[in-house]
Amino acid sequence: MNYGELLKLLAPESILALTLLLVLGADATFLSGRAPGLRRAVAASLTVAGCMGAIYWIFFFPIHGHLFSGVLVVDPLTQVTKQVLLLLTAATALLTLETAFTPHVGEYFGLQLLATLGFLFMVSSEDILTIFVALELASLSLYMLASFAKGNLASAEAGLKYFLYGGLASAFLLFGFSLLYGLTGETLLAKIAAKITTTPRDPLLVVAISMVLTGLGFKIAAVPFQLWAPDVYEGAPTPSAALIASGSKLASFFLLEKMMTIGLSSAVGSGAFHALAAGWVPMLAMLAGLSLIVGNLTALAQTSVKRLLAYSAIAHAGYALLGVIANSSQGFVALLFYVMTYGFTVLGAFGVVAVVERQTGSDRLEAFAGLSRRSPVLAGVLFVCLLSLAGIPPLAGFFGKFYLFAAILRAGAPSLGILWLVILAIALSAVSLFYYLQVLKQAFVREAPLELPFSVKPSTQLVLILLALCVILFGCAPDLLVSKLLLALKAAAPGLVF
Amino acid sequence: MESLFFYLFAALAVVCGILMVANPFSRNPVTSAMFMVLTMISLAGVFVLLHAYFLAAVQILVYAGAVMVLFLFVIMLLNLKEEEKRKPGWVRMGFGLVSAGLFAALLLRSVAAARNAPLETAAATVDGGVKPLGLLLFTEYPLPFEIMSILLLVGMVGVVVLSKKELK
Amino acid sequence: MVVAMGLEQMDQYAPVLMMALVAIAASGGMLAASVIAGKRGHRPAIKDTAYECGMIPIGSNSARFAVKFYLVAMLFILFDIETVFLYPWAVVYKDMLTTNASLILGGMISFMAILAVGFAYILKKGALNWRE
Repeated sequence: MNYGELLKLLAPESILALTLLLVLGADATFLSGRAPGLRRAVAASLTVAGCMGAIYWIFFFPIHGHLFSGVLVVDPLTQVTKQVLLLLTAATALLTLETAFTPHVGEYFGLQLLATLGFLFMVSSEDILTIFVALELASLSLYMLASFAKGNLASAEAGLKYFLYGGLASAFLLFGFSLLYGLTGETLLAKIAAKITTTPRDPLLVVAISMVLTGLGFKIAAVPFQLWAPDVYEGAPTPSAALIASGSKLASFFLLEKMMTIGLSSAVGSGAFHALAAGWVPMLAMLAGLSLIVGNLTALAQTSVKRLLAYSAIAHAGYALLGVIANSSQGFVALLFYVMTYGFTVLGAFGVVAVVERQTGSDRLEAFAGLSRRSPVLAGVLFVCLLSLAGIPPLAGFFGKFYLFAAILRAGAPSLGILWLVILAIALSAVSLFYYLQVLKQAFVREAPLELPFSVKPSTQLVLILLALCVILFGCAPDLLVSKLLLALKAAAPGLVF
Repeated sequence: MESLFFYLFAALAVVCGILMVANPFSRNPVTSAMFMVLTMISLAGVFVLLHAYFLAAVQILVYAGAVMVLFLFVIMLLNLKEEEKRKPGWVRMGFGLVSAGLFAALLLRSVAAARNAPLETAAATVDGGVKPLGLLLFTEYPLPFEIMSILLLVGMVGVVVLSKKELK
Repeated sequence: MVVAMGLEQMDQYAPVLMMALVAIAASGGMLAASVIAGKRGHRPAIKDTAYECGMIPIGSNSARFAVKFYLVAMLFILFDIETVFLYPWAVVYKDMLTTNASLILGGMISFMAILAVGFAYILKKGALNWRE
């Protein structure tokens, strides 16, 4: 084990860290005092270049290995996930060019990169100590991103709420981790799992699991840990909210799945209706059911589109949890497909909201009136993204949901006991169509009092179109991503036959 | 002898912790902060008893020292005097009590279980002195150590951005 | 030199305990002595009011703090934590130099490099500049 090896495995992260130092340094030295537009352009291009560099590195130098027996895990699965995370950040950085809310340009892009670094480390570790530090890195950066529009009261409130709830959730997570460590004396997930089977089932283990789920439930905004989400999505600067909704979700779900299926693989339990057994599955089933109900029904009453997207994000956390509950390799793949495509979709939706907000000064439903005539491109992107969120075929969201349901039904085939959750999810999916169509009705049917065309930056247009194309592509040919994920999972964990 | 000190420090930590959040004699935030210092110091005592010597020293240096200075600065910055009395709503109170009660029940159950069959918790394999800790940190956990430096960088950037006066 | 470890090291804490007891006894004794032996002053309410034609003070007596103190205190904590990591590093440095030199050197160099950039950033932004 030497430093060179560590650096080699950490090459994408190192590239990102260097980019970050470059962005901060360039903005603080020779760009200080220049026009904000120029500083934004330079910072964004550096950020995108860094992300792309890391993606290319992963693509052309596929290196795999475990360091320190699992403190650092670099395998095909983490590499694919990292590439998607980097893509999401690059897209967010380009969408940030649409906004002009802060004079601290270098820091804003720098913090996006720092949050991404946190995501990458979250994905590539199977050690609770490292996981916690990585999670804190991502969380701290996101708190800062949420409160970045200092002059804006809503942003300050968003940042404070996110920070206070997040701090509490971190404390719970840390307490849960320390209990797990106390029970087993190990920090590596696989070793924890091995030790748990040998000790008799212990009430302390239940405490530990529920504390870990509280901490991670906060990150994925599952009910009842969702209270921060609507205010943060609404108050935070739009690119920050987009990153919280896309990259943070993907990394957190990946972490949750690993935590549950590797670390707590011997405390699964059962969420079937007539065969309830203690473990994390019934706990997650409860979180999923509540998230589906609360998210979808509260979204019906929203008039702010960002808030609507927040409640829809809560509902989507409920859907994605089905993949974790399935507790199978199929469930893992379905979960990753769902959360990845959800990231692209929600980024597209937030991009449209950012433009509309900048031009009309509001993200209310009325602000979207006449969008199809003011900017056909934006309206088209919004159409694709929202319908995909609602799960209309042939868009990515439909296949995401389909795979999730298939995975959970196959996993629960012997008893079909978990069927209640699937029925709930399908029923509420129909409800969700209503609120997405509300937005689309404004955009396509209603007329604005003054229909001036929107001016959209070419970079924004390009990103939004690419995102929408991704959503359509993965909808029409989901196998492109699914087969890749399946192969990666098989290569990553050949012994992992669920 | 050791267990005597354990009970002493543990009781001190619990009592000071309670006095920190619910002091019946004073609602002055500075008093709460001082009780927090006492809690931290008693925890440092517990760490010593657990052979975590370095952690105990750091606990006093960083938490009882630097972090508490920060707390006092915040109290002065906000010019807080008496904390206002709040009346919690019944619903909120009920929810809080129910969840706290459930949690307490679980903890009590695990304590009871531990009485009957002492937990097979793995005893710490290394001593908590500086040297074993350093070896562990730099041979097995260099990655979290590196991430810490980035975490501290986030802190620096955040402090400067959020609390520096805007230049006109 | 023999490095005391394990239970023996616990014995080294006996002086610390003694010291704590002496400190508590000294401060408590002083307080008690002043209560017992001191003479209680006569202090009616009128003593605290403004003298004759002086202004009646309004507002609170505690002045508000400048945010700069807070800024410096936060930065101090960040570098304080950095130093905490330096200490175990320095202790194991010599041993690890023979077994795993690249890890102990490279690890600390990249750690310090990132923090040095942070420090340079703080200086450049004038966060430690008092007159601004």
